Amino acid sequence: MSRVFRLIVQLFGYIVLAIFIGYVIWSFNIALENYL
Amino acid sequence: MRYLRTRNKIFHILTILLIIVSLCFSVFRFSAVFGRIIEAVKDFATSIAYYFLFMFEKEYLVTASIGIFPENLGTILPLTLEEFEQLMNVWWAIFSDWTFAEIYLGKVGDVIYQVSQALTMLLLPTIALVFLVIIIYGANDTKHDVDSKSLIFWRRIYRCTIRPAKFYARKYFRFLKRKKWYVRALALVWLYNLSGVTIAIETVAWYFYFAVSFDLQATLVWIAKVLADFTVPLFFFPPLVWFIIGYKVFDYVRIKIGVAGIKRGIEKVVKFLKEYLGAKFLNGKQRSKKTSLMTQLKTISESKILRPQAKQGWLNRTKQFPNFPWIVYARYIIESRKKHVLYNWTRFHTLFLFLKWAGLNEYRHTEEQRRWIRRHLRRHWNYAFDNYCFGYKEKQRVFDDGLELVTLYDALENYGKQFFLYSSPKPIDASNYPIRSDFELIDEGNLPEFKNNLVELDNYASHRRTQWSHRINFDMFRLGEQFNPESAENNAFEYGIKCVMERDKERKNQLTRRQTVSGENEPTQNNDLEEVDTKIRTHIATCDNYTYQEDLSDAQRAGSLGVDNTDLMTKIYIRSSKKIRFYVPFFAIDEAIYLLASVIFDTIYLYLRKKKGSNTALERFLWLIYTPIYRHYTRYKNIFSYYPLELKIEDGADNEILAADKKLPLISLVAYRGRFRTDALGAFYYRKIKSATLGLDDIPTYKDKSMTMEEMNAQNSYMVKDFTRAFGGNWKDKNKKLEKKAK
Repeated sequence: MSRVFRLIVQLFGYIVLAIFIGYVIWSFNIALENYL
Repeated sequence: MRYLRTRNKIFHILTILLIIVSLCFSVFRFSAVFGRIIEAVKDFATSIAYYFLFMFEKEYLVTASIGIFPENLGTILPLTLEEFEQLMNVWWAIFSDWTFAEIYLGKVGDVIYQVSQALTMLLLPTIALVFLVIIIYGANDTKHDVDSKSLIFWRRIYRCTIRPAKFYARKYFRFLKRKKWYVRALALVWLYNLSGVTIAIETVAWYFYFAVSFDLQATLVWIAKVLADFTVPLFFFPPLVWFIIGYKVFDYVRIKIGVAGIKRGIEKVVKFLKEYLGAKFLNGKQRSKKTSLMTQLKTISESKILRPQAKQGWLNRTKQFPNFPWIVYARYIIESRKKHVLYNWTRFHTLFLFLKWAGLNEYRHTEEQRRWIRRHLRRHWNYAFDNYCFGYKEKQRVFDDGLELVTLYDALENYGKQFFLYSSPKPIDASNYPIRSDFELIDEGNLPEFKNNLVELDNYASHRRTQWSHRINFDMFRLGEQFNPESAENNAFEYGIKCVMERDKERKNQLTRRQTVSGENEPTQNNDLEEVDTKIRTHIATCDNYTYQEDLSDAQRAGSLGVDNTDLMTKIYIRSSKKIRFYVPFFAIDEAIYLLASVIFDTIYLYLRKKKGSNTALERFLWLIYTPIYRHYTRYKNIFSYYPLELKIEDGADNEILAADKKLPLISLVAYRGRFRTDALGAFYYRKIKSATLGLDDIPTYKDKSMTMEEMNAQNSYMVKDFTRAFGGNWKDKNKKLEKKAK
């Protein structure tokens, strides 16, 4: 059970990380469209 | 042959057609690339000119066009430092604004909503599919290994389509491998088409300009140009291709990180071995991985400590006498090893005693005596040089190292010993269980090179180089009584790694030795003087003040080995072995996919195989999907895993705790690469049980909850026999009656 729990926690961490990286890229894209 | 020639002709035509089609792409689809390549060449030429004119301080004569963005090329990227700063400010303003974060999270929420909607919609068809499977495949059959109708149909399609396609594709790739010019031409055309050539030329142009000008603004322009060029492949490939490329890059990077992790782990073990010098005694309960740890320590000690140390040793000796023909001497050692003239370190010692004597007294010897010496050297030492110094004719015979006056013969002897160890084609060990080594000795006829890539990912290459450790002969370590005192093996172990598992059972301690009874002239732990040998053995293994010896042993309890032994050792207790961990990042994704796939596969496979003896299309389809997942997971898990061990380290002599909680990784790729078997002593039981005629199934089972007297007697238990005597008095007679009854 602990193995599955550890896996779920890790996967959740990866998803949060992916969302954050997505935000960095998305905000850069918006900035690029708006800076001039 | 004719068939082969025809096929080759087709392949030639096919390749030429491919090149023509690629060129058509260059003309019609990627026509804009040509303009860019002209600009890139211009950038390159002006940069080169700038670079060389700068050396003569005449750089004002030319303007490097790499810093100018072409007007016909549109970009939204910043081209000046002010614009760049402005962009960064806007980005930070957006990044730190909660309103934008809310918009972004709203978009993420939308995606999650869509995904969950799709999953919910898929639920119903999935349930329907499960029912369909149960209905279709629910009927029993016991036609073993017979294909079902659907499978026969599928195999027929496969045989007509996929298999020949695969076959010809493989043949074609093999053809391309032979005809390298076709591949080069195709690669060049597509590198040009996809702006690879443009980007490469622009990058070199930027380097030449930036190396002398340090112009940051030009760098921004260069980035904008390269990104503009990159849009060509970006829009050419569909998203699926980019997804695959992205996955490949991701996988490549994480494998690199994983391998770096394993290397870090190996470094940790090397540091550990160097920190606790001398004999090491590993202790732990059954299945605490003590023999695994010993095997890991042995492998790393040989390939990362002893052999590299020997290499450094002989290299240092080389530097003391630069004019000596070291290569001649090195080849002499290798040849003499093959001819079994030099087979241990003491032979070196003897040889140089003789050469030193002959060299120093040469002026006293008559011609006949000299002839005798030369004959002796030729016949018994494979030595055919015209002086006593391997043909060395220079004057320098002494090197002053600041502390000692090193004579040439001392340098030669120590070089020889260390080179002999370094270039040994077999592992330098003796163990009481087989340990696999996978190093290679690259000898191109000059100086050989020892190489042991412990992170070799090619498993076949590792297993092709398999060598097993030397079988130990404990008589080698007995100074007193020996089982076979005449054996030539008894003096074979001078340097190297001694690995003894279950050392306590071999040596025993003061209490258990009391029961040891010996026959006439037979060695026991009491009279073989092995402890004395252990105390001074390092003296024969020392060269250039370094001891080329490692004494590793393990036991379940430190106390079951005598104090005379353990006093000399560093006691290492394996306190705990934590659960498996991985050096490769994001492995949880692989593991989650594998676990999910396994649950689904196992359930369906076991259900199908319980009901059906015949091979079904569904099962084949499942294998097709599951096998790559299983193989990928198993390989990654085995290659990149480690077990964090927690060790307590004690000084053997005064039981002082040197480290209470030392962490050391047990690396799967080092310790478990087919290196040893935990059941190495199983041969005893195989021999004992080989002739058995009954198995566990043939032994009677109990009839009920309480035992009968017959059942209890048949247990052959001391306890039952004692009770029988106590309850019945004359238990022997009773037993006899029971036996008769049973017959």
